[in-house]
Amino acid sequence: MPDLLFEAPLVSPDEARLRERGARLERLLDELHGSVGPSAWPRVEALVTTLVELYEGGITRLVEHARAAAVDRDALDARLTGDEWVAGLLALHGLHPVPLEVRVTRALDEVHRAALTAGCKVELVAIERGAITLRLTHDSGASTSIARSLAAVAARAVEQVAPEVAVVDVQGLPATPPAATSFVSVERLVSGGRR
Amino acid sequence: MNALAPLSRFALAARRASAPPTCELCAAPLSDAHRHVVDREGRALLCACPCCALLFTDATRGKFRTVPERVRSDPWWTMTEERWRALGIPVKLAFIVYPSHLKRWVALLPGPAGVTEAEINPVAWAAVLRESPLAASVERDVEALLVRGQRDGSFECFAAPVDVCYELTAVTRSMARGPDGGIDGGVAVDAFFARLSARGAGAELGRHS
Repeated sequence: MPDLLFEAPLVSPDEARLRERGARLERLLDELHGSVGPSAWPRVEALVTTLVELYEGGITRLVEHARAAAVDRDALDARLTGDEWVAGLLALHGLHPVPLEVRVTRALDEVHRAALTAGCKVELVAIERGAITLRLTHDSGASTSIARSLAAVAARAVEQVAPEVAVVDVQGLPATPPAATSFVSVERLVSGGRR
Repeated sequence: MNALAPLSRFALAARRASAPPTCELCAAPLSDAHRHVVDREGRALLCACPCCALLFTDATRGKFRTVPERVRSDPWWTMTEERWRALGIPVKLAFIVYPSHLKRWVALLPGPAGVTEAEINPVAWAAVLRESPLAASVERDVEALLVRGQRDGSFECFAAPVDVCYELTAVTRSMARGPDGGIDGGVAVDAFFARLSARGAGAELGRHS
């Protein structure tokens, strides 16, 4: 599986195109929402939903055909899930072979190890349709800036593997703003022992 | 952030839209053609599975009553222009119901924005109930007197299930209003009434002397 925590410094043209499209989609939705007015916006949303419905139906059938005809189901699944673009689409449409909870738990395992070294713990609290809730707990000695950074990393890790989930909410963030001094880069914390 | 994340809420909406309907009383799966139960307190129409529909059929007390399936007409009585004007309903297509929570008869007018509620003249309605066995046979909450006035001044009247009347409002929702401000024509409405007539055929009220 691709590195869950950080975007690779060099992305393939495909990955770059995927990210660019995703960013453009978000920008367009924001711009339209701001400019079309309250009576037209529901129709914009209906338009996008209808398009998604059409492609969801098509992709679902496509995957069914491929799985039915595949000589080696595991090899097919490995291919599909190893391709970021395809894996994302499968997840979005409920077709990913790895259940949502497993994907999220695996992503959090990676963060968990790093969190422990900083005196923090990140747990999965709830998965409900449309929203995932995490909880961050930290020792009194743990730095609040690190806790916040870890919360952000955890949320990003979960978002990366679960595009079908609209909201990732992290509870337990320290209330006080982070101290301006003593910054420790999260990379340094996490990369210990990894490549 | 996954590049596809902006699509997540649309995918969710798409999934919900295609999720199979379930009974609103017991969550059993439903087929597309299903019965409805009226919640007399909330004036809601609930989708119901055959078991729940059976349970609340002919229920005389309590919150729920199943909408019956009969469509009836009366060849010996029809609405007239004077009677319609006396009722005070401003348009030519309406269904008259008795919702328990309102404790009176009201007219529901299908239109482009959905359904509009209108008061009817109670004296005029009492007269209709005296004259018309069809109107008198309309059950409270679950049925309606459905009336459609034609351009030639004639009227079509049915005692119809209230869920069928709401199906009509789905048809009229996308139509423009006619010159008199009401929805009375249109191919879709004609087709609806043709189907209704076919359903009601053979279920005409008898005349007792």
